[in-house]
Amino acid sequence: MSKKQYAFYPGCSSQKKVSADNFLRSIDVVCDKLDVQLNEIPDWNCCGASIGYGEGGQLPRIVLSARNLALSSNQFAGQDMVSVCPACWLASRETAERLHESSSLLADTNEALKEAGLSYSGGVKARHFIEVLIEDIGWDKMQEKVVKPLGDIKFAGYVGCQTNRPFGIAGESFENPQYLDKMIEMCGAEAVPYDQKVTCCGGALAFSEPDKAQKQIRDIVESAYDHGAEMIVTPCQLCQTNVEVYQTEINRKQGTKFHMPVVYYSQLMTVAYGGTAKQAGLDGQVIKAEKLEKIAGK
Amino acid sequence: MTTANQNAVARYKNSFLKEVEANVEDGHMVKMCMQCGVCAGSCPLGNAWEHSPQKLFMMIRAGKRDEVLKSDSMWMCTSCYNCISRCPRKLPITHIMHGLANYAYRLGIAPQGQPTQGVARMFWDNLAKTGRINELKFAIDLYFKDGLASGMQVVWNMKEDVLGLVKANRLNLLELFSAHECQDKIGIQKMLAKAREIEDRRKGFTQ
Amino acid sequence: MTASIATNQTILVVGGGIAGMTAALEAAECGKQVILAEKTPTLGGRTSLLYRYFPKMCHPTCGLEINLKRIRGNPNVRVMTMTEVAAVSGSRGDYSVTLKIRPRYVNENCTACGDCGKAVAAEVPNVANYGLDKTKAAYLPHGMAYPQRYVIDPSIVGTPEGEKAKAACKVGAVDLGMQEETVELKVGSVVWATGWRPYDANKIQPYGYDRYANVITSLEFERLADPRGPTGGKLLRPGDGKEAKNIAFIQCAGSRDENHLRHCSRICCMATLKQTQYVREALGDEGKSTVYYIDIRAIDRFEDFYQNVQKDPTVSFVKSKVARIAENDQNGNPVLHGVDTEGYQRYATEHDLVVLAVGMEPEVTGVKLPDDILLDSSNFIEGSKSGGMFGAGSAASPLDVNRAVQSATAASLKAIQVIHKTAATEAAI
Ligand SMILES: Cc1cc2nc3c(=O)[nH]c(=O)nc-3n(C[C@H](O)[C@H](O)[C@H](O)COP(=O)(O)OP(=O)(O)OC[C@H]3O[C@@H](n4cnc5c(N)ncnc54)[C@H](O)[C@@H]3O)c2cc1C
Ligand code: SF4
Ligand code: SF4
Ligand code: SF4
Ligand code: SF4
Ligand code: SF4
Ligand code: SF4
Repeated sequence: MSKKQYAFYPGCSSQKKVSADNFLRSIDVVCDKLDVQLNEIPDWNCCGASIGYGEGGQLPRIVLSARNLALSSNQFAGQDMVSVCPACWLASRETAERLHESSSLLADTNEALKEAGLSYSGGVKARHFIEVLIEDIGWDKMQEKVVKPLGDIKFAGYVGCQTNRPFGIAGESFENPQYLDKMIEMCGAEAVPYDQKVTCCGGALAFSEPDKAQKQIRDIVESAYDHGAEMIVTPCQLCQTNVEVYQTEINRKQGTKFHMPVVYYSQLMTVAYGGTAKQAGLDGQVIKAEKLEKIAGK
Repeated sequence: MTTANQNAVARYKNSFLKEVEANVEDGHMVKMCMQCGVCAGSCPLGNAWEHSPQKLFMMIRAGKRDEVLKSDSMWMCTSCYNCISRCPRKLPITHIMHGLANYAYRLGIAPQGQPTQGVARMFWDNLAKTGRINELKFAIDLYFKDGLASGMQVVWNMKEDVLGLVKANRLNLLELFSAHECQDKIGIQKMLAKAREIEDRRKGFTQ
Repeated sequence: MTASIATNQTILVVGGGIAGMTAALEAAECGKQVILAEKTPTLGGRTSLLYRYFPKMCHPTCGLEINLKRIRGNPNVRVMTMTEVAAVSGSRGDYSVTLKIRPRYVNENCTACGDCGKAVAAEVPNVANYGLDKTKAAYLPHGMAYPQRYVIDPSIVGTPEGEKAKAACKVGAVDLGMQEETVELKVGSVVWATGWRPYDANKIQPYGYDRYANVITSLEFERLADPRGPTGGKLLRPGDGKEAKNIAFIQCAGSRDENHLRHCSRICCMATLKQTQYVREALGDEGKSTVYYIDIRAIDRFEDFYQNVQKDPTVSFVKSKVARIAENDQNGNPVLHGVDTEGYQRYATEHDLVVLAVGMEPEVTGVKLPDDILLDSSNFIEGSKSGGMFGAGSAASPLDVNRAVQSATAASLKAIQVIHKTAATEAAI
């Protein structure tokens, strides 16, 4: 069977040996199982993320994303440009839509792109990998590949903000999206209901306003514990890092005893699809996901 | 020599709203606000905002230029997009917050030493050099931003987290020497410089 | 039965709410032939599902009773219930209409004795209480139903339950063999008085109507307050049946909102002010109503009503559109999050019950209407291109009962003019 082809925009955090290295490994397994081929865009650049606004300004940020869109359409004409990072997706899609709506913005953008020897005339669709899974692959096919149901693990599905807003996955609610829970259940595990599913973790302000962001993170982890979760699952690199890494710091400052693993949906799927702990990138957890490792090792 | 700020004040005299409409990202939407308060109630770090987005919109219309641009409120935005998804008038509130912050910063009147501003600048400088974020350099800049001593303190406090990331192969100490970067970093630098030049022209930072 | 019942001198009124009944009667009392087609099994529309109505706080019974009496006494009006318009073609003075009549499974012999209802066990959601409780599958729509005739729900036809109903009827009124009928008519003018429906509260995601049992709509609250409603007039909240004392009202729930209805629904501020008085009536000084609003739109003569409510110490007002609702797991109380725009104070306030003052959208939203019809940007009926069809009541604009009646009278007059012109032209030929 021929594989579905997509131009792939990994983004800074999903390269080898950076903060979401492990995420990418599990994405590879999922793609392999589901006959998806992600074609990495040569020489892609950072999207600027949301926090880029302070120094970057509007046009420079748009131009950054436009360069990726231009490279994508040059190299992989006709393919959708897929991201696994919500911030990358958001920046690319916002840019693609704005350039589509405003010809003067497109002209300014091309004037700048020329400096890098590129031009963009529109037409690339920026999509999230989860859209590919749900809309192009479909639940049935994703379900079919499950060989190791995750049994008795209870997960709190943490969608966060930018996977969910302002675009989100079509047909899902901004306040109470269902797809992540559905993915957990598809992997044979239990999704606990809890009230912090779309609470913001503080995003990039985890660096600049640590106390304020850590209050957000504390609410999220606490609520997951209160509702019986054993692990948190998320689709977002920054959510993952913030919610996992700061638990130690919150414990130290506030005397809590948090020790909750935070994994990616694709890691769940990899294990459910029969992948090893290493393939699932579980060696990349700062707080080890022992129960998942055990299932993967069986 | 007059500063960009003095030029802007002279040009827009009594209409701060017009100034915002002309120079702030999506500023033309400010006048659509009906002051319902939904955005104000949606910011995750709401308590930290001296002026909520809704209040800022009111202040813009009331011509409170200094109070708005010198405020650190916009810098409290986490880009969570709650406001955008809920606003009954479909204001792109997140963009306007980013735009206001950036405009104040470019005019040189944003609050000095505001932490998010510092992080934003570091992040941008980091990516603009090579086209990609070097997470290690970013982390080092971040933690040593207030000097060596306080940096050591921060790192010491967070040593478990940092070590955890290194052990988990997610923070690569070799990045200091050979990092992820774009091949065409020169092209990217030129492209960004051009974009900045165009934007400065449009926003009246250069004549 | 076809053309014999109507000619192009006839006026068709679609919708038998207060506006449709008024339009039909005004024309009939001027001697015109009128067909009043109503989709549900009874006339009365949404007004009959209100507990009391502003501004005079009277019960809808009295207003309805007067109109029903006029209808019973007027041979020019032919009432067809369970009837919907399937198609309209033609133009001013000369329309061909297709009506579809659903089977009621009960004929004219019914005396509304209720024996069939007693005999069946099966239950269906009670439409008259907005589904808050159930009713037997052989039922009278509500106390004021016109015609006073039972209905058998199609779900029991062809089952032993249906047979039970048939066996119970002593006058042979149950006819389980009834089929859907289609009727073709010629009419000269059409008045659309198809009314409104509440905006789907499930879509207002930040308020969690779909997730939190103790978040209800203003329509449901009308039924809770009504002694003939599912709780016998006690303000018992759906989550746990506890009496709700501290009640929040959220204005503009789905109205004045680009994500939902763009228009101001115009009646919901008054409806909430009225409902705070239900709280007072049920609980006296022990009740507490808090109204969260953007601005209160109690226009012209309703200003007095507003001022009186403002004087009521059990009612307080918070100028704020609530950002979102969460739920306190411990006690099921909804917790409202937002900012008071007078003073910019953030709040997280718990209430026993939240009532969403949901907006009105035209009932015909999503319904295929004749090409000739003109709609505004919110789907309210403005009229028709050839000038022979008119909107009346809340089908034309979000209106209260009084204004719906005025609008219906105006529409009726226009329809009469069309008929006069048609008659004049035909006489000339
Ligand atoms: C919570 C709430 C409280 C309110 N309280 C008050 C109050 O206190 N005082 C006041 O004055 N107003 C009040 N109103 C407003 C009042 O309900 C309306 O003004 C009134 O219902 C308008 O009557 P109508 O005949 O135009 O529409 P409706 O009452 O909606 O009647 C329309 C009729 O048309 C029928 N119909 C619809 N489509 C078709 C079709 N295709 N074919 C055939 N028939 C069709 C419907 O079944 C219905 O019987 C309140 C509204 C709300 C939401
Ligand atoms: S969002 Fe983050 S990871 Fe993605 S490209 Fe932008 S900066 Fe890099
Ligand atoms: S939850 Fe945090 S990291 Fe995730 S999208 Fe929101 S701000 Fe960004
Ligand atoms: S939510 Fe929108 S309309 Fe309401 S105050 Fe904020 S910006 Fe204004
Ligand atoms: S995006 Fe910014 S302004 Fe909007 S709700 Fe989040 S923090 Fe507030
Ligand atoms: S159908 Fe027969 S049994 Fe039922 S109410 Fe009417 S008369 Fe009575
Ligand atoms: S009448 Fe009041 S509650 Fe209803 S939409 Fe208008 S302002 Fe909002």
